[in-house]
Amino acid sequence: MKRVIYRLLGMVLTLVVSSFIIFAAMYAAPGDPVTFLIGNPENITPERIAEVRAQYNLDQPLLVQYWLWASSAFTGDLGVSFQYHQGVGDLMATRLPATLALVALSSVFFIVAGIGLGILAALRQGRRTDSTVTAFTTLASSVPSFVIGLLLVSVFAVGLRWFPVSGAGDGFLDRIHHLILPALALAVGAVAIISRVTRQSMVEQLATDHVEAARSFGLSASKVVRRHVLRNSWGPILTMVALVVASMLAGTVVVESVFGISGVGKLLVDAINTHDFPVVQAVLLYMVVTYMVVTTMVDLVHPLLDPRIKARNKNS
Amino acid sequence: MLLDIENLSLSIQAKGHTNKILDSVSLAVAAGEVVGLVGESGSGKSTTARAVLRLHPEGAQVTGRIQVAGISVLPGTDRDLKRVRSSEAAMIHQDPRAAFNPVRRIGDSLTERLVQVLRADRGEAHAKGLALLEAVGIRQPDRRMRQYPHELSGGMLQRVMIAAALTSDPKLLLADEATSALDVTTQAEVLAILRDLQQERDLGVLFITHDLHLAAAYCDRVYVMYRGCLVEELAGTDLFIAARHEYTKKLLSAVPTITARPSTTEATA
Ligand SMILES: Nc1ncnc2c1ncn2[C@@H]1O[C@H](COP(=O)(O)OP(=O)(O)OP(=O)(O)O)[C@@H](O)[C@H]1O
Ligand SMILES: [Mg+2]
Repeated sequence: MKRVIYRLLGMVLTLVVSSFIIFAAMYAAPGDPVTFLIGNPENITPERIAEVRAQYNLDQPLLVQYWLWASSAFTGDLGVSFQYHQGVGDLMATRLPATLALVALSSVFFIVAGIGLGILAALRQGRRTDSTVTAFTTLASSVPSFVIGLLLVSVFAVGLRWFPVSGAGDGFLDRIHHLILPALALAVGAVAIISRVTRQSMVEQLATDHVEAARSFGLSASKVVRRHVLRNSWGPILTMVALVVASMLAGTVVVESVFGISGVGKLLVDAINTHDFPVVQAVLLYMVVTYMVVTTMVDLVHPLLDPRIKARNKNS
Repeated sequence: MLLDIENLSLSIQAKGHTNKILDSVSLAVAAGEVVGLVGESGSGKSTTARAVLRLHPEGAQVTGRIQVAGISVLPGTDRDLKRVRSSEAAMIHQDPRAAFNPVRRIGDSLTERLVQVLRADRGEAHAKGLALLEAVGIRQPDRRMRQYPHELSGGMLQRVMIAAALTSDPKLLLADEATSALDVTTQAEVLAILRDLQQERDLGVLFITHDLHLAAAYCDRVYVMYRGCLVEELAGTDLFIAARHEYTKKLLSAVPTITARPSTTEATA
């Protein structure tokens, strides 16, 4: 119980600190949003500037501005976009589905490929397959995702015409069809990380006494892997998968640009370019929150995978 | 013979040169017999016991013949090996805390051989597990079945391991330092239980130990191993009086006293 309270307090503190940093960074950023807000340079007069500053609370001290922003953000009101003159919440809601679908599909790819290759490498430890997997995934992860994206587009979209060149599609199947190439481009870098963690974790388990004990009473090789080696390797694999997913949710910018997907990443880039501060703040806040949600979920699942963690938590 | 090892040699290729770990080892264990295997650390005792279940390190070169209850393990088919591993023989490991999967319940580990290898009915396996836990002197077996290894003491886990080894009614037990990780009192209790069950079930036991007093008191016969070779074979009672080989004498002289027997042997007598 105490742990849960500490945990919640920690989350609130993280949120307050990170949201303040986000807000202060915007405040300190070069470039005055006022000029952008006014638009037509001919309209820029001292009176007009003062008017706009008052309208957007830009004339208030930093802490007051932060308080106004944070308290309304807490009630779900993230302000109005300077550029689109539309609620930031609504704007995010139209962009989020494409990004979430992209990350979800990409996660399926990198989880299946990463864990699969990791298992293969661990079971062929020290042989040719093992080094081939390591070399191949390391090489693939060193190629930037926009290069992979462009490569995929030129071969499978432009050349073979199997997939559309850009966009996120509408409806379930059409969306998957649109997102397969971008999801692949996004997944490639993560495969190396996940396969390495899977391999390492399994190699450690393979050397344990209980695995040999299981072999010694005749458990078949596949059951030894499933019931002992892989079963006990899930902890580190899960942690790494969660970290990768969390960073992906905040890192779709490049792939969204290459494939012309109007998701959250593209929204962020556009907002930065146009000094659309409310949108930048909201997107950064979204990234912090998703990161917190993902890592908290991992912490909740871990004790289910390993009863020793539950015991340790109880004692502390 | 229940266990028959003939001319077992084992070597491992390491960085160009060959490491000879076992050299023409021949030993036998009859049904109902407790046979000791003693020798200094690194002499090859564990390697011998593991070879019986063909658990030698990958890439090892093995020659010789091993039979368990008339089934050939070396040379042998995978089917025969599986039969021996699952039904004819069972290993009791040195470190009970490491030998159980830490994330599975005791009951699950205890019945794994029956359910997952021998495809027994879950309910029957559970009932048999409970009965065996009682037989090794564990109170509240029902509760223990639902617990995890970290919730049990080392002595209790070692008893669970003995129970787990007996689930498939094997004829041969390979006990590799089965009690070395336990404190003296617990060691005595576990040895007494092992002795009772061995006599009750007429088990053959290959009993590997560092403790020469224990070997003398506990075993019908004792083999002495030195650098991968068996150098001497003696009746347990003769171990301290009739040893001829230089190495055995040296081993014996390293033991503190002959008259003051450790409590372990009294408890089992
Ligand atoms: N996987 C392996 N690879 C290489 N050498 C090994 C391997 N396993 C064991 N050996 C070597 O084989 C020899 C015998 O080891 P073994 O474990 O059988 O000895 P032991 O008599 O059981 O010793 P202890 O009393 O310490 O348990 C040792 O010299 C050890 O270094
Ligand atoms: Mg040993």
